[in-house]
Amino acid sequence: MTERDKDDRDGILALLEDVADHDQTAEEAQEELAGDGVNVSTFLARIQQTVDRQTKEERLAWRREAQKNVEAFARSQNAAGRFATMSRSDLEAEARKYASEVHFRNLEEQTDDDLRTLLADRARLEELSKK
Amino acid sequence: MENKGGARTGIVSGVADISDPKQLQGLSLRLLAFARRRAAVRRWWLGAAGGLAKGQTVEDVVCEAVESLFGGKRRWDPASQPDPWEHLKSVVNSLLSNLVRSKENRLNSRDVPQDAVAPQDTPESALLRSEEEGALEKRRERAYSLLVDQIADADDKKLLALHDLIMNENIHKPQELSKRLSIPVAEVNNLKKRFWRACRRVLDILDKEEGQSHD
Repeated sequence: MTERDKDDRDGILALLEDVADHDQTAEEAQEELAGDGVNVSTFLARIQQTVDRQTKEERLAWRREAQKNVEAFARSQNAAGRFATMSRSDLEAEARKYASEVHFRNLEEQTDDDLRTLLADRARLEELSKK
Repeated sequence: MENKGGARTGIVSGVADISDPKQLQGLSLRLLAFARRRAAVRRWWLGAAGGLAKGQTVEDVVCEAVESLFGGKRRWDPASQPDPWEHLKSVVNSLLSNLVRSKENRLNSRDVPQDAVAPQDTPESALLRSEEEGALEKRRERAYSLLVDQIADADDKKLLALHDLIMNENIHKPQELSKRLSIPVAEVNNLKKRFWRACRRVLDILDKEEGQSHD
């Protein structure tokens, strides 16, 4: 096939695709489809089913995501709860594990409650990031 | 709102509201008509290989596209494409291309991993392929010659001008076609519709000759 033949072929395909892509109203489309023997009512019922199924799927996906968030939050509460009864020395030992992090420096200047809050917040964030 | 003045001009303008069941139905009907025309072009162009692969129908393709407005793999992103109609058309085009391509590959035994060694053509298979390609080429020539006859029979200078502008000058944009043909854009759209009806008559002739139905 010569280059010219190939150009002609491409041109014909472009022409066909162009004229196939014309604007029409829903009524015109319905008329065209009915003329071609398409059962429009059956098609529209199928579309409705597809939309209903996909909408339900999306709703369930949203609920699943919400459930995951609830579970992650509950886990984070549990993870944070263990610091409530820790002694000062245990709290300091726990905080030293994160000595590289800016909030866990100068431990001697922090009250027991400050340390508990810092450790609990950190544990919660860690648990939520696992979601 | 969809279809402002559409009944009068034939042009559909504005962005459809997909939460309105009536508008969604309208979009779906227009999409099915569009997809059937696109599929017909591919069938015309590729012959038997232009049919859809994997046992799919055009309606399956349209349902998958409409589904993407509400979720799924090809989910519509209104931020990047605010018009659902444009999104739907692009999904349909992509799905049709994939299905036709995968069938074409299967027919040509090319459905193999890229790094796999391609099977050698035997003289018989090479001959068969060359015969198939020759037959397809003849079919295209016959289709085009029928189309030219249809346009000549219509005795419509504007149809002929549209043909020449697209084929010979590679002009596709409705605005530019409108300028070159000195007619409003809405009239270009009507011209395309008339041209498509000529294409349909050719397809019907070919189908009759080959004993095939449209789906």
